Amino acid sequence: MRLFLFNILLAVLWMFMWGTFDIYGLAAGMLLGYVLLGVVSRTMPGEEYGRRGLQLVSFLAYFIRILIKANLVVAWEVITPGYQMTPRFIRYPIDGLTDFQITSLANAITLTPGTLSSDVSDDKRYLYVHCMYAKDRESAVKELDELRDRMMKELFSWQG
Amino acid sequence: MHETTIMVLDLLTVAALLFGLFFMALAAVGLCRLPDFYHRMHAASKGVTLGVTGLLIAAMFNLSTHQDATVVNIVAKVALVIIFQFVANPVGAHVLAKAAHLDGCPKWEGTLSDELDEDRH
Repeated sequence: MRLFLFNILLAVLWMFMWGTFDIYGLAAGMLLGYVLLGVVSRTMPGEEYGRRGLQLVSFLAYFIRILIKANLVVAWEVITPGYQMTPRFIRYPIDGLTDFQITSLANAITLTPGTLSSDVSDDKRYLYVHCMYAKDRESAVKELDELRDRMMKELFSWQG
Repeated sequence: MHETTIMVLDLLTVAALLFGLFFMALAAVGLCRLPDFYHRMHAASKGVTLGVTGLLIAAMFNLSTHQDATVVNIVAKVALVIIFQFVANPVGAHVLAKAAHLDGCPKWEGTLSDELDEDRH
């Protein structure tokens, strides 16, 4: 987070140097500052500024991919005759997550294939998820685990 | 703006419109066709989020072809609306599903188990 503020400072510096105070100047400054800090932070222990930025992009790409897949899954169910669903309400443990992380996870779950978050227990320990294809409970939980792990690693590693 | 650029942007507009409308239409059909309330929420939340995103991207391409358009302005607004969509739509679906379950909305007979129901009683 400290390095991100430094990145903004570098971008402002860049704008002053060129005298271009518009969005393009800011974008160019941010990009150059990011590359510079990505290289410099490799020498600092415990700081991986360059990798974190790339992880953010990789999570975004992963999210868009599963959103489109989710829609195709629903589309297939709607178009083909008959029902192939095996729905369940699943109890999913979310111990140790902050409120903001729970909200993000619930939203992400709703937008991923075959799952719809439908309740949070009052003590914020469990999320209840409606799964469309959960013939085998364990594999459905495993899919949610993958999403949670990716989100915690790639999206919320910034908080550290 | 160059004429070829405008033509390319028009084609992109049509492509994005078709993409968005396809998923919006699927969401609408899904609402009628799926067996119970919870499955219908699947269609409504996922389909509409992606559909509206497609329509917004189409609007972005189309508005960019105008004579006195400021592209940065348009892209920023579209990005903002898309982000709000991604936050607001799932929350709405979540609240509706929760309310329906509290109200004892009937589940499809194929539902295998309901751990939410077990924990309530």
